[in-house]
Amino acid sequence: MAESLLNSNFDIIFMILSLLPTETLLQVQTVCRAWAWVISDPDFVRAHCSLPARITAFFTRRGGWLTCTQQWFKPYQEDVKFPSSISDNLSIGFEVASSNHGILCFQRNMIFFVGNPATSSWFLVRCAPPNFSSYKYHGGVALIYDPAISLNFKLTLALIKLDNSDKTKYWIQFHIYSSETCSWTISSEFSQRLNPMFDQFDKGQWESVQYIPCKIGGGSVCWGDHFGLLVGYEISTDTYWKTSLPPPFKQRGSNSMSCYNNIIYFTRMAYGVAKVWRLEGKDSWAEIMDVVRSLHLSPPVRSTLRTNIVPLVSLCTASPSLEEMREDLHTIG
Amino acid sequence: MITLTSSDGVQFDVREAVAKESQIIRDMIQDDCVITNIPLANVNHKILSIVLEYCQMHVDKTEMEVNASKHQTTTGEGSSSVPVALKVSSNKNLNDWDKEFINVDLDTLYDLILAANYLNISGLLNLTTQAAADIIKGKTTEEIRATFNIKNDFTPEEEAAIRKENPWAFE
Repeated sequence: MAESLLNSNFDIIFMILSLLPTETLLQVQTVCRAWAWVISDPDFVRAHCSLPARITAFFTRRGGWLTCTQQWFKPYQEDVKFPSSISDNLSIGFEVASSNHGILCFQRNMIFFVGNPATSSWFLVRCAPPNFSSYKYHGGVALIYDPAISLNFKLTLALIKLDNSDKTKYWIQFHIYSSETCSWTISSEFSQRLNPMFDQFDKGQWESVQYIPCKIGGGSVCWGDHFGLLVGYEISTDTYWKTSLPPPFKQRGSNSMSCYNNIIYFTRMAYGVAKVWRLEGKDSWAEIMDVVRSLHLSPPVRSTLRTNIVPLVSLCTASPSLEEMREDLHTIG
Repeated sequence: MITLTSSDGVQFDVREAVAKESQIIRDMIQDDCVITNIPLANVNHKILSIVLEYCQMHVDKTEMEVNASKHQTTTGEGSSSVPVALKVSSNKNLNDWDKEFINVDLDTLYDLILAANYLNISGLLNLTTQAAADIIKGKTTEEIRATFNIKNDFTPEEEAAIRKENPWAFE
């Protein structure tokens, strides 16, 4: 009797396993075929993702990782175990480059660590992207990971080129690393003429632009060029799409862009309030909420948040809803 | 009163509210209001008595709270803090009671999960599956197999292949 229940009753196995954290699931998929079958079932993964998870807030910003008001990364003793080899490296200047569904990507130059702080499992992306040195500017890194689709991750690195003879135009191309094949591929190129109101663009201006590719859904990356345009790249079809940004973000300013739970956020800090907009479909925007109004952060944190907000990272792959996120934003304040 | 008959023919007379903790019994009663005897083919008397103990306790506690809040509305303002405190403590007691209640051997736990699933008693199902999940947590694959008497039906090659699939997750 005991044997038959957890060996063959898929409904019961489904119910029990869905209560377990991701790190445990990854280990127990080798218990028996029935368990492995349940855990790999997309319905199970979806159900598991929809359960509320214990989440811990990490704010990152340009140039550092922030658990409180510290500029540089310090292992977060309470919740996250980092292997010493990682935390030693991190302490000498790795940045949190991207996060998605609970896994993080740390970057230093062209070295990337990807892993799950909840499981202390880390993966070093060893090989460098091809042709990297021929590009003068490189933009952000986006980590593509959606456990509902695959437990493998992709890393995209945006490369930007400016044409010296035509300074109203830029090119962008993605280098994509797949953990499945452990290799890089190169996307087609995309070029965009700048908004006429910025007819000339010099190097200094480029560097001042916040350029943060983020990811939506399972396989696309997008970025706001801060000239009124949101451009997206679909990995599976190697195609680009573009749409305009919500009205308040068409102007330059302290905007930032990030993604969580397949929602693109545009946050604009003004008077301590971040407005969040959500992309619905590919061309309509909905203003969903003010986030930071409920944050009671000390002034130093507030000023760093002004630079960049990256959403919370869940410690499991289970993704909390926006409401829960807001709750937690509140509690860490 | 409603009579529930276990698979081995033992009859239990319970209040309608207690029986209605089960979604399927609730549906039956709603469909046909004259029903008074419900045979439960998948639950034996030993497990049914434990299940009913759970339902009885939870119904009693809920009724106590309702009464407390009624008391609050009749006595008017000024005494609002008392029922709130009562509610908190009764929730705490109920959680403690649940914790004690679920402290059973594995075979009983399995049967309770099956019964809660069959009778569709969400509270009991949550409680029992969470208890099973708690047993799994922190155990190695081998320990889980031993505890739950699960046969490893993988070949060593297959097991290695699963680990290889997500090397970064196991590193």
